[in-house]
Amino acid sequence: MIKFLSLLLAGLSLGSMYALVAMGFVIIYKASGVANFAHGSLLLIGATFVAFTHDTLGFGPAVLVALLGTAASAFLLQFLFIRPMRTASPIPTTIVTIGMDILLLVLLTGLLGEGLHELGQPWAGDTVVIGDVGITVNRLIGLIVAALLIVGFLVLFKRSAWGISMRAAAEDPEAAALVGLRLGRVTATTWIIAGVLACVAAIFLTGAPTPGLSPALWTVALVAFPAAIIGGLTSVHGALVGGLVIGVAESLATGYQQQLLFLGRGFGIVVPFVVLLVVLLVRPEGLFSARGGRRV
Amino acid sequence: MSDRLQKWDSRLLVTRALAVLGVLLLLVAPLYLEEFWLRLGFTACGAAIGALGLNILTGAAGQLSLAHAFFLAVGAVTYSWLAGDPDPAIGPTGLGWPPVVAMAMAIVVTAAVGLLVSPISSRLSGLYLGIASLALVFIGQHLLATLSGITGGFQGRSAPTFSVFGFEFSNQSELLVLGVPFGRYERLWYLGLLLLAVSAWAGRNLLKSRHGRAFRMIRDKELAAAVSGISVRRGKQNAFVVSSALAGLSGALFAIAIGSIAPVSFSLDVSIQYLVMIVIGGMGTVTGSILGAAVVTALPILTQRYGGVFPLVGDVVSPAAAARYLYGGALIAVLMLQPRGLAAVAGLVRRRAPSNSASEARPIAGGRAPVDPPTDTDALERKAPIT
Amino acid sequence: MSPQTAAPLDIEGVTVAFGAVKALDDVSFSVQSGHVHGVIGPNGAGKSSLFNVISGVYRPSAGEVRLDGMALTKLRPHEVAGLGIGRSFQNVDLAGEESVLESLLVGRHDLMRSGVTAVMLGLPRARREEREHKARVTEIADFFGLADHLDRPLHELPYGQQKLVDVARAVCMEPRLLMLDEPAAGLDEAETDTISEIILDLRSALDLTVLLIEHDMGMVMKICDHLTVLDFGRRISDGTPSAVQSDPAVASAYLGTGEAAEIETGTAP
Repeated sequence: MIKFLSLLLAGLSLGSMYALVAMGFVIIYKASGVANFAHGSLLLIGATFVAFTHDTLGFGPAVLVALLGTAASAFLLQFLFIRPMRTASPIPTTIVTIGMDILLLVLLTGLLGEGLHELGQPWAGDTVVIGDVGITVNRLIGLIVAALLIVGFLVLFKRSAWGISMRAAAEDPEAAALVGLRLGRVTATTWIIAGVLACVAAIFLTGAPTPGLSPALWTVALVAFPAAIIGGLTSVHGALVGGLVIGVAESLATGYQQQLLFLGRGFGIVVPFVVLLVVLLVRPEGLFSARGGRRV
Repeated sequence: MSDRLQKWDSRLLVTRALAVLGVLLLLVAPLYLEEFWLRLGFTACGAAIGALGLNILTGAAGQLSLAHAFFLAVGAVTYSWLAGDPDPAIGPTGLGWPPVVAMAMAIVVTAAVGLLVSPISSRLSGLYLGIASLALVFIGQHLLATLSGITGGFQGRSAPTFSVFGFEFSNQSELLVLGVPFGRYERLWYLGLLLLAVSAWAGRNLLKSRHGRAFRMIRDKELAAAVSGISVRRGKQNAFVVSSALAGLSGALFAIAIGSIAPVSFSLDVSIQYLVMIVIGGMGTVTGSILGAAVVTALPILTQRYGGVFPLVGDVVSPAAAARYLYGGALIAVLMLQPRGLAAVAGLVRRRAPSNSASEARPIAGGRAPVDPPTDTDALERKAPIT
Repeated sequence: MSPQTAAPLDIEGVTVAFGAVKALDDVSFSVQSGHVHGVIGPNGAGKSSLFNVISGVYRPSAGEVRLDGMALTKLRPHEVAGLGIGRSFQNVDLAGEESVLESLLVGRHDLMRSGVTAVMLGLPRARREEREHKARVTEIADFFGLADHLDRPLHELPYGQQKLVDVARAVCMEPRLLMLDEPAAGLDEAETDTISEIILDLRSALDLTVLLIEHDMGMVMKICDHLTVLDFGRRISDGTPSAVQSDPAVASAYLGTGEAAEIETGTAP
């Protein structure tokens, strides 16, 4: 039972990171109509900023630099590559994000090289025990920060001018343009927010129990994509639920891998994708997507 | 009119002549080229067959898929396992089937796997498939590592030499053609060309048929396709299965080219490379698949071999990285600049279809040429269905 | 199998709701076999929703649609099409790069039988089927005056002819019921006359029932045998053009929309 609870807690923490990534992915989908396959690279950018600056600046300022840097990178990607494609249909634009990802990944892999990089989190590998349940300080802080960010984000999405414009634009871009919404600005803001969310997730995903930053972080980000689809791709709340479901499922499968050995070693990594296929088999449009009465 | 016709005729003649010349050059190439080029050629032929498969699915039917590496893996494993040595000195056993049968089975089994996942894949619309298809790559990697009795696990397994009715595509038996020794790669060169020619012909037939038209209609206007009597699910399923079958053959050829298979050869990166092939070459066309496969296959190998010629390559960026910069950049450039030369890109990169409200006020494009009055009414009558 | 004949269509108590909004509210009417039947009404009256219900794109929350007695509401769009319902679209948006011939052949999809393997291997029966259907499509194109343009990419044609191609594609399905969604929208007077003539000729040459949404009242009054008027998702009038014209409910529905004068005089704006 204690094992189960600690796995659950670890899973929720991991899931909250996935949720941050997936929510960014979903708002980009809503704003630009593309699946942003360069999202993994955004995480890498964020973590790389911290890894390369924390020695000289200290961890706090390094995080600040990383947040600004990732936000700026996300904005630039949108401005340079996605904005010019706004009259194209979604699939070519999505393939452009794959092209961005190829370029960013080869650039960042070159920068990072083979070894692991420390991000210099002050809490390092400490663990705490709550009741009988243990968790790394990194994951605990991550969970708290993510929870605050998610609440803040949801409020922003519901109340702020950006959130309202964004939802209006996703409903009906033409009407939104007619009433004078500056769609370009809304879209740019969206990418910047997604970049910030990705950067925060990256900082905690590279901390304990993960030993540090390597290009493998990119793959971790891919695991968050199913979270977005499970939630229904257009639903911010869906992305949150999807992230948590996948985080918990992965954590449990990894924790009980001795009992799951018949499924093969390292099954935990595949679990998010198995969950994804099961959900899609039952509901092809995801759990939270509102699709009209159309059927083809 | 006749003037235009003539011009068109002569252009056709030139195209034909160039095509014949090209084929002749390809046929005599093994007499002159060294092994490096022949090997590259065979690899490119195999890749072109796989790219054709993806192009039918993504280029023609508009279904973005990143699962191609998974289907290549299924083909490669099926071939290697079925044709493998039943009693090898090292590594996992095989079934010892004749390689030709194993290759045919690679196609059949991979198509069947494609059919198996189509209850999910053919019901997904838009970008859902693109993301969901990631699942197959990751699950595929897991299976490759886990089912080690068949796949050889992390180390992989060797892939048997190809042979047809006792004629081996290897250096074993000696064969001289016009004084040139025809070894493994000379022989494989022709195998690759033959299989590519057959696949390209079949692919072109498909794209010109009712099914090809249905694919494009599903891609461009799913709703209108359905209302025109096209079963959208069935169409997507057809595209998926054909795409898988070609990937299966391509995977088997890959195994033959390398002589062994391992999980790393079928990672997500490979799926992306195939996507790059069809975008650079031209979406939805057979020629595009072949050109794109040739470029993407050759790039890393050529930068490896000749990279030193260019500044930076080697010291600042590795040849492999240089190739990735090149094709990543090319991918974006082709999509953003839409050069007219790549015919089918235009089909996908069309302006977004205007929604109802906008188009009501849309001015009439192309002027108001009067519609020709209908000709003889009696000419049209209801006919019994063509059987 | 003998050639099919025109089919009657019955719409009974059809309701379509999107959340709280009812696009169609308990709409019933019948389309007689061989009639040219017009559906008119102000913008947002539910005309397009009605077409979508008949084609199987929307599933109504209540009600039934029957073609020649056969219930359609449980069928998927391509199955409805397979029963003999051809439909043209208000917005011409056929695949732009496709040639006119290919666009028309799309309408033959369900009438052709060759499987994927047969076409890939270029089997003689697949080739023969393609040839025969091309011949029939050429006949239909000829009727529409499109025979000279078969090999041209669709987007090269002027708008009026693109609309004709869309109607012709629906006719290529050999339908028993032809549904036309604003075939004259965006056309000038001469073109409108031409399409009117084509519709009447098609009806008699091919023995079809025609269901027509159109805003051009002149055209509607001229070619329709029967009219159904929708407003806010409800059927407000149903009858012969002259009966509908004098129905006070219709006049008040159109009042203030600027179309009131049209319906009374039966002229195009």
